[in-house]
Order: sequence, then structure tokens, then C-alpha cells
Amino acid sequence: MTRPVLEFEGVSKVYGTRSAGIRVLRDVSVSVAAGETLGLVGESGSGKSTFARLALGMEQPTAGTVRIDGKPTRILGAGAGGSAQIVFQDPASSLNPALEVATSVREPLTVSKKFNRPARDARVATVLDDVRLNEELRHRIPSELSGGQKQRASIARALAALPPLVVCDEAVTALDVSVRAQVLNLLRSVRAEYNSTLLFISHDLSTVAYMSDRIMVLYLGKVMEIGRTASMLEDPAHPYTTTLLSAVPHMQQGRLRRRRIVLGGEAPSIANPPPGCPFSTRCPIARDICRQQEPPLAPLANGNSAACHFPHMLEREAAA
Amino acid sequence: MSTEPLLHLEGVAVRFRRGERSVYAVRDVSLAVRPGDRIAIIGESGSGKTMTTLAMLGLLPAGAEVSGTLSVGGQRYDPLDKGAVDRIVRRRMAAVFQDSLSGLNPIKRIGTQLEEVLLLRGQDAATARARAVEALRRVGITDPQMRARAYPHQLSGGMRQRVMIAMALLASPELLIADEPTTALDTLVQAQVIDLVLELQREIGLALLLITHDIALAADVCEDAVVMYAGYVLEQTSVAGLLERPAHPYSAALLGSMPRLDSPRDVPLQAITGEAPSAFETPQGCPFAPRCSYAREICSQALPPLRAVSGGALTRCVRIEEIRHELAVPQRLSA
Repeated sequence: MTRPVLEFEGVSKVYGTRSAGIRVLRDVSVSVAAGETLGLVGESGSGKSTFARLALGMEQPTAGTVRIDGKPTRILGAGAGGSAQIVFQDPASSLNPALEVATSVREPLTVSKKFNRPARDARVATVLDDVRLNEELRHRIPSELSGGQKQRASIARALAALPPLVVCDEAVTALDVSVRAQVLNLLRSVRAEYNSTLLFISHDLSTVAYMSDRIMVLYLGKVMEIGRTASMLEDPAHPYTTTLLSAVPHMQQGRLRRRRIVLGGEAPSIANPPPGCPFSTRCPIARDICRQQEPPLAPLANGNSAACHFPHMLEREAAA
Repeated sequence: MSTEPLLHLEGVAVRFRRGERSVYAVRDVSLAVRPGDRIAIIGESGSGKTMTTLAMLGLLPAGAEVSGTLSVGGQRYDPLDKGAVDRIVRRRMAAVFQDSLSGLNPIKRIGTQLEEVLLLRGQDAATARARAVEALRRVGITDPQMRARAYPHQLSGGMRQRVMIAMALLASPELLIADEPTTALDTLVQAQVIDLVLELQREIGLALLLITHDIALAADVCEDAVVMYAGYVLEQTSVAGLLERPAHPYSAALLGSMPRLDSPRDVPLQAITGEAPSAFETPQGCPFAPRCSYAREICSQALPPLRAVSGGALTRCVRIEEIRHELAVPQRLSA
């Protein structure tokens, strides 16, 4: 058993006061092993970003504990003491516009204690080699680089100090299709090289599926389903997962193509979640019990877990 | 087919002067849209798809210069002549854009904005009000009477995009241009909006021009595809043809670079190396040649013409007959 790098134990996050607050994340427990990539899937308001901010130590949980390498982020503090780094959607946001990218990449090293002064130059050179930014490009300022080059530089910056955890928050979303594949391949190769633990967040399910060992599906701050990517894609248990998968354009579904399930109405507001299962107001197979009793996250025969009173049922119907 | 094209572009180029230099946003686009067509213009940033769209709609930014011809229903128009655009284009074409907030006036109620479209067309206030509410109902907005009183910021992104579609349809267009209509939306909302557009398209018999970077979305929605790159049309074909037998290495590379749900996770994606050419440089030969793994000397000598090849596709690739059998998408082979 590899040691967990990231652990969430009964984590809830409430914004506002405990009594009148908005519960953006509710009772999330998950542990991510070294070298593992956990994909995070969910729509706006699902709690994806809050989960990422908690993992980075930028926020503290209202209840429960978040640990990185066994140490609570409560103690590590903001930035989790350099233990976690993030690659944002907009690469410009993690690069100083006035500095050569090599200088921006060096910055995390000056904070980290892992590299002494002479070792830093070598480390910057190595990590820029890893992301294939050549000698000329690394001395440019961000505005002189293309979008793909900038994103490669911000990946180098995130990896420079060898953080145990890297969060990729919509890291390829803003890139052109043809450049996206380059960056995804690059992330995969550096991940393999450094045995990095990744939290991969994207609204694009096929990209998450391609990058992740396991996937966690969030809806209104709750985990709907979590498990191994392959088995979840083959046989999703939660009707929300099935619905999401069915909304992926057909071409990207390949042999996993399903009949499209279109939900009526809009997702309820996270400020005012429905009683029972949070998905019950839109679920095509919801029954009375779903609107009354919130199903717990329970293990399934395939080793995954889902919070549903009728797991796999919609999937069976969609396949039929 | 003998039907008169609704919209016809021939050799359209759009350029901007920057001091001594000219920046070409669109270099050569020809396209015919007929009633009931569903055509996707697929391209990445810098491909010229957006400027082509703006030229069609007569919405080009100041300083643009246009050459080539554009016509609607056989009537030529100058996209820079506001009067001509109002007379010829606005009556038959409507558009929905990615950013629904910028298309709506933030300080006017949704209903009022919808009514204005009709009042401008000479309808009386009572009819306008009734039709505005009906239009909201038509695009699947529940409780339309109440929603008509809402301001844009009080609606979700998906809802606003429905309002934009309702507004576009009030003008009873024959052609709807949808420019990345769902890019800013969540997956499920995206599916809802696309379903709505398709349903309306079928019901009203609209022609649809979908402008997108997303080849998979284009494949779900459209029958035909135009693949643009660096201001040129590189391939024009049916969607089925594009997926099964692409006629340009760029189209094939786009298909191969996209992850699929069933992509093997231990195999790297087929990446396209390098970056798209800058709009300042006019490439000598095929604009994709510097990034193309099939490029030979001939490719960079002269710009290949757009020509017909087997299967009904048009392509700018000079080597397509030799290489087409190799352009299969590797992921599909493994499926």
C-alpha cells in the first residue's frame, strides 16, 4: 500500500456562519496515493474549486481534516507550506508579466528548503527541459510566449520545488485543441518522471477520464460517486454520472456511447439544497425514498462507491 | 442542388492594416449555405472563423477591409455598409454568441428587450408582449411571464443563452449563426442548449451555421463541416466524411489529438507539434506544412488550391491521394 499524499477526512466547508451558512462541501472523505491522479468532475457550484482550495491549504475546513503527507493543512498553512502547487486555467495568472519565465519558475525554489542556492539553477534548467521550453524561450517574458508555451512555463513553475501534490484546475481548457494534446502529454510524462500526485479538475469529462486513475463526481457539494476510471466509465452507478457521460459529444464517447439523457430544469442552488438526495429533483429515476432519505456513499460490487438508493439502474436503462 | 444559397461567400478575405503591414484574419473563404443546411465552421484561435462570421453578419470591427463577394439570397452586399447590412442581412440572418451577457442590456428587463425586436419591426405593443412571452416559452423557459420581468443578471448562463436564442428567433431568420454558443456553459446545460437549437432548427426549417473549436460538438450537431486554419479553408466535407475519411492531415490531427472516454490511458495523445502561423506572415505554401508530419518540399512551394477529391470532400492538401489511407484516427482503430 502506497502512502497517501492527500487525505480528506469527513471534510465540510461552510461559507458564512455555521447556522446560516452555505454548505459548499459536505462530508467528503477521500485519500489520494503517491503517484495517483484523482479526477474531479462536477458542474459550477458542485464544490470542485472549494475542494481544490482546501487541498492547497488556501482554505481551512469547517469540519474534518485535510492532510498532505500526513500533516494537517491547518498546521501547514496557506499554500500548504509549499506542499501543493496549482496550474490554473489562465497561465498568465501564475507568471509575473514583468519577469523572464525562468525567473518565475525559480521563485518557488527560493521559498522551498529542498534546494540550496547553487542547486536552484540546475533545478530550473531541468524542469524547463522537462516542459520543453528551449534556451531562447525561457528568457522571454510571458507576453512574448504563446498560450501553450505559457502553460508549459506555469507547469514548470508548479513542478519546480517537487511538491508532493499538483492541482490542475482547468489547466488545458483555455488552450487550442492542437496545443492541448501537447500539454496533456507533457503532464503525463512529468507525472511519471516525478511520481507526482495530481488533482485534475476539468469540466471536460473525456479529458478527466484520460488523465485520471480515479474519478470523484461532485454534485451540490456531495460526493455522488467515486472509483476507478475504467469501471466507472463502463458501468457508472450514480444516475448523475450516467447523465454526465451521456452528455459528452458522441464522438468522444467512442465505444462507450450511450443514449443522451437530457435533464429538465436547472440544478438547485447550493444555498438551498433539496431534502433527501441532492440529485433527486432532476433525477430521471427518482422515487419517494430519494426525496426523503439522503443515501449514504456506499461501496459497490465493482469496488467503487456511490451515494444512490438505486445504483446502476439508470445506466441499465440507458443501455437498453 | 439548384436551390439558391441563402448565404454565399466567394473568395472572402478580411484584413487589417497595422502601419506598413497588413494582418490577414481571413485569407480565402468560399461557402454556400442553403435552406435547412447544418454546417459547422471548425477552427482554432487564429483560424479566421470568428472574423468570417463577423463579416457575414456585417459586424466587423472598425478598420477592417474586405475583399471577395458576399451575398444573401442572391443579393450582394458590402459587409462594411451598415445600411446594406440592415436591409439585406438582418432580415434573414440572426446570431447567438458565446457571451450571452454582452448580448443583453444589463439594465433592461428580458421581456422589454425581446419586445423591442418586434416593435422595431412595426408590431404593436400588445402583440409584441404576447410574442415575447411565447418566445420564452418556446425555448423552454418555465414561467415565461415571470421570467420576462427578470434582468439578465438574475438568470443563469444557460437561461440567458436560451433568451438569446429566443431573441434571435423573434426576427424569424432563415439562417441562425451560432458562434460557440455553449462554450461557457456546463456540460449538461450545453447538451440542453444544443438540443434546443436542433429541435428549433428541425421545426422551423432553419439553416444553421455553427462556429466552433470543438470538432466533437460539430459532429453531434451538423451534417457538413468546414475546417479552417490560418484564414484558409483547408477542408470542406460532410461530417461523416470528416470522421471516417478525413481529407486533410490537419483535420485528421485534430481528431487524433482529442481524448475520448475510451482512449487507452497508457498511450499518449497524437499531439500536433509547434504553433499556428502568425497572422502577419503570409505562408509561401500550405499554411499547415510547418506542423504537418506528411509535409514534403512541394507543400511549402505554393499555396495548394481547394480542390475536389473522392468522397465529395474539398481539400487544400496536394498529397491527399497518396496519404489519405494513413489519416485514419489511431484511437478509432483500437476501438
